[in-house]
Amino acid sequence: MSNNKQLQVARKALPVPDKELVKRAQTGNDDAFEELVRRYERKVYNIAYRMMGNPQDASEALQDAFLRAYRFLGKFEFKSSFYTWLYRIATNVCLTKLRKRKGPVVMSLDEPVGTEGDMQFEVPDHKYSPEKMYEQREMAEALHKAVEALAPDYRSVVVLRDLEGLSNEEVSKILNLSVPAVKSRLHRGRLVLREKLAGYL
Amino acid sequence: MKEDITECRECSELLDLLVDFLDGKASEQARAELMVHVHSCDHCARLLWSMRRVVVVCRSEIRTQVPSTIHERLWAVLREELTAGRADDADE
Repeated sequence: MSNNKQLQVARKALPVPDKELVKRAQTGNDDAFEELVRRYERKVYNIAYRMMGNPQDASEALQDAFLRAYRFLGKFEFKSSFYTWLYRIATNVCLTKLRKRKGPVVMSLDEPVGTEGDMQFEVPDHKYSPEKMYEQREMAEALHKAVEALAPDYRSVVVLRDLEGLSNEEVSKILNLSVPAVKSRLHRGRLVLREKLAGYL
Repeated sequence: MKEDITECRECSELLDLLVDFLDGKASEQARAELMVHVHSCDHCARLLWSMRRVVVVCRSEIRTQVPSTIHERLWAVLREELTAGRADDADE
């Protein structure tokens, strides 16, 4: 294969960068917007699911987030990456819905952690039993509940940092917080998770 | 014994480092200070160990798939919006 042909194949295989898709979508190319949705649907759904705590509310948040992204795409000025902008929309949609939600009061973060008795630091024996797979599912469920117990402002930081794996700087842009504020909320959020997951750690 | 993160003054200062430390981004000096401290403070050693576990548990959580009904609903809503958008453009 000639060098030129190899280059052509390589070029063909490279995905179109987000920036290019956004530019095309801004000029009315709906296929480009649909490609962006395909690229980020799962990630946005996961943020929404972890923020909202159930598939029904996550579904609504997912739709709202992409509808807003479509309607406001013309105002995107490439000052951040597209996904930072999209995650900000998704997180704000979730936070707004959570604030409107009537229901059980989430755990206060003003109370000192660790007041419900001694922490258990030993690894429970059952962790090594033949039912390990079941235990892992149980752990996932416990984590889900623990995250849901966090106040929304802390939950958003924990979801983006620890569950989605974004950096302090990215989360600071998404949530419009300073980096030290992100770190502080993350630390306090993790302290609550630690308490809630004590039996599993 | 109750867990109190402020029970030792040195701990509360060192705890500020914990986020960076768990990210592997603490400076060499900060890292060394924290290590020296946790070797002499059971409280912080337990805290460090359990916080590391929390991070590991969170980071090993796998992204869930979008359920098919939710995926289809999203695309139905979007296609409706995109079609309406095109109709508006045609009117102009």
